[in-house]
Amino acid sequence: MIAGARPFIADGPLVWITRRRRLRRTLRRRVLLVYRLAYEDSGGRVVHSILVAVTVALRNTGINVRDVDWSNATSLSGVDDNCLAWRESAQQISAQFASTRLSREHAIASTHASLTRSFQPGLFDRRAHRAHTMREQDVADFSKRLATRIAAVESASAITLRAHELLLVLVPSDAARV
Amino acid sequence: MQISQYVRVRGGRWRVLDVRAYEGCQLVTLAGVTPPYVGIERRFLTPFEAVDPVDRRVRPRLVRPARWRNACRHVIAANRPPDGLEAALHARIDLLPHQLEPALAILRGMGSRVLLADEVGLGKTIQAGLVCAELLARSAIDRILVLTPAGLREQWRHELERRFAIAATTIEAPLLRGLAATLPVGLNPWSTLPIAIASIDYVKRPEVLPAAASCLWDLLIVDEAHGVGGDSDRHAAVSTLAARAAFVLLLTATPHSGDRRAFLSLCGLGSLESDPLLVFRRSRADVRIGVTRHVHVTAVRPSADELRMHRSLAEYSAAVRADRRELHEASWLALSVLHKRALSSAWSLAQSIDRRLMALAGESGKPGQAQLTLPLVDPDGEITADDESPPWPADLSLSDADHERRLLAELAAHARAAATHETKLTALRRLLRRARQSAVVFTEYRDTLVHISGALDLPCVVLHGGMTARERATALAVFSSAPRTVLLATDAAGEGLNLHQSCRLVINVELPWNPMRLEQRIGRVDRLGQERTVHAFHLIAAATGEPRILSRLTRRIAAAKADIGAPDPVGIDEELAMARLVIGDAFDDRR
Repeated sequence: MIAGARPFIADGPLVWITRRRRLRRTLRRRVLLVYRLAYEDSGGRVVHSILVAVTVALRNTGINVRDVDWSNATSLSGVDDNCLAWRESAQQISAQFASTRLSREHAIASTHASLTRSFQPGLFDRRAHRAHTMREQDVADFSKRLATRIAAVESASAITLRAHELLLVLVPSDAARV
Repeated sequence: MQISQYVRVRGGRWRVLDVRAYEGCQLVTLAGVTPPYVGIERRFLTPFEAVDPVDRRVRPRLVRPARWRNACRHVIAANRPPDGLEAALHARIDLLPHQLEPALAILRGMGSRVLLADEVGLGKTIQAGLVCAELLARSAIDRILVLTPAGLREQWRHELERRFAIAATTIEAPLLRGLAATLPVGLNPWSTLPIAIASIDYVKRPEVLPAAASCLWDLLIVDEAHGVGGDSDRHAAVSTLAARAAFVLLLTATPHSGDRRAFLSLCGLGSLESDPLLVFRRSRADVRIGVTRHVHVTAVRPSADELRMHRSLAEYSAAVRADRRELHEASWLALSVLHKRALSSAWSLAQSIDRRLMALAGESGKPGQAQLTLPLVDPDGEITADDESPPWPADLSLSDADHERRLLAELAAHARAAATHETKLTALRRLLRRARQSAVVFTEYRDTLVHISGALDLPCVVLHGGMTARERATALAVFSSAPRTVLLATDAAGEGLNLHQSCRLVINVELPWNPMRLEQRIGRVDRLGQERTVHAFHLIAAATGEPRILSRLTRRIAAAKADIGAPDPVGIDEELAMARLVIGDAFDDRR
């Protein structure tokens, strides 16, 4: 059984200044930055995301981690270059899903619209008239709801790239101070 | 508005959990973060409710290693790669790779209609649940209708809720009546139920279908979809609903019963323009799972009375053949029903013959003129008559009524004599005594079932087509909770059941002539989650046509396995071949 993953929520990146020798040796006075890139739909829901870990070499040692503007580090890291394939794949999959769904929706609408309902009332047959009116009303309601659903699908199918989000920072202790 | 964003509503601060856009409004699900709303989840409709975003200054936070590592784990778990399934993370299931494939295919836009035709016990319900959960999580759908045999509605509801936290409503006639009475005039009760589970036989009813079809269902799931193939009311109803659904999911382990037209009509459900049908058919060998299955053939030597009964039946068959000169397909099949019942139990044959003799004696019971029953006592279509004694076929009579009466009287006498000491029943009792564990005993006919339940000296529960869903659920609960209990079931009632948690032993009183039905029977206990070796026993009456049926079934199953795409694995042609095999051989034996 797989444990459920709760969404990670923080008001900024979590920074860990590590004193562990192995980590420090691996980092070699570089900072590890973990970014999340995400596509979101019109409702702000993340539909595709990717985590990108990059290391940035520090020019100066003894930096104060509280003073660093980590958002500017994005430009240094070249995160975008690392996820071009992901962006292409995400857009392609979303477009394919939306296209299949929309073609199905349009097919439903056209099939529904093409249904001809012949009606020949008897003389003074008010009951048949009323039944026909109600049927027509139902058909019109259904068509309206169908159109609404198509509009909703069309608007939801557009995905936009969210701004890079820095989530985690790992700094070797010999390169930083608090 | 973004998910995870903080907002201010009614003087409190909340975090956005979900946003769903509708016509002219948005349904926003929020979780409270400040008193007095901490831990409270509420839904608000914008713009009718003022939801103001709160700006929070983003700043780095120094944390301890444990917190950082924990956050790292959450970040990785919450990552959503383009070809990943979000719902699979939260589902309470032991995931197997093949179960992800249908949901992934739909998400990659490969099609809107899916035929999920995996072998019995490979988790088709779980795969359908994954599709539901994933599309719901991505807000791609809102409304789901699950059509299933009446007896499986509660099982579906339970599985969706327990495994995927999807709250579905089981549709029953009283529920809809209650809703119609309380809702404003003109509001369709079906439209108020976003995720509904209904029986196919209920929805197909002419007074129900228009209301169900006038709702826009985003996803339609048809369980045991082989039941809606062909030219039937069920097919027409499902076809109407499928033609309006954005996604259609057809579930069956036996998509092709040998009737090509039925198969094509099944594949055409919901087809619009050039909409492709995605077909998934995986066997146990494909997915490399499952415990060992041992199939045992127990030869039962018939008693002298039983042999006399079979001989007498062969004489009657020969008389019909001689009378008709040439038997049509319908006549072969009609005659085969008697042979089937004789192989099931002498008691069930005696019941059929007695009814026929009564009809011959009276004026009323003319063959083929049985009055249709109205669904007044069974509005949900829970009760099925498939396991009842079929009406005497019109083709099955002799032109000389006295001769027929004489032959049938002799046959009935032999059958009643054989029913006093049935050798299969003795073998069954011995088998159950030695097994010392719970077992499922399958038979095709309700008469045989009742006969066995009266003759067994072990605790047993019965499950047949004449029981309501509530009665079946009670019977299954008793079977699951009590050790060393025997479940006596007919095929009509056993479809789709999960009995693998409490049982691993299946006994077939007689062989069904359709090998897929045989697989369905064993599949009740041989399915995902079964941890013990499965044993299946076939009670075969020696010196009758049954050994030949078994060998033919074995050949057909082997051929079907070798050629998974075989267009005619089993079905009406196979039934006819079986009928010729049994009746012909019986005739030859008599000579």
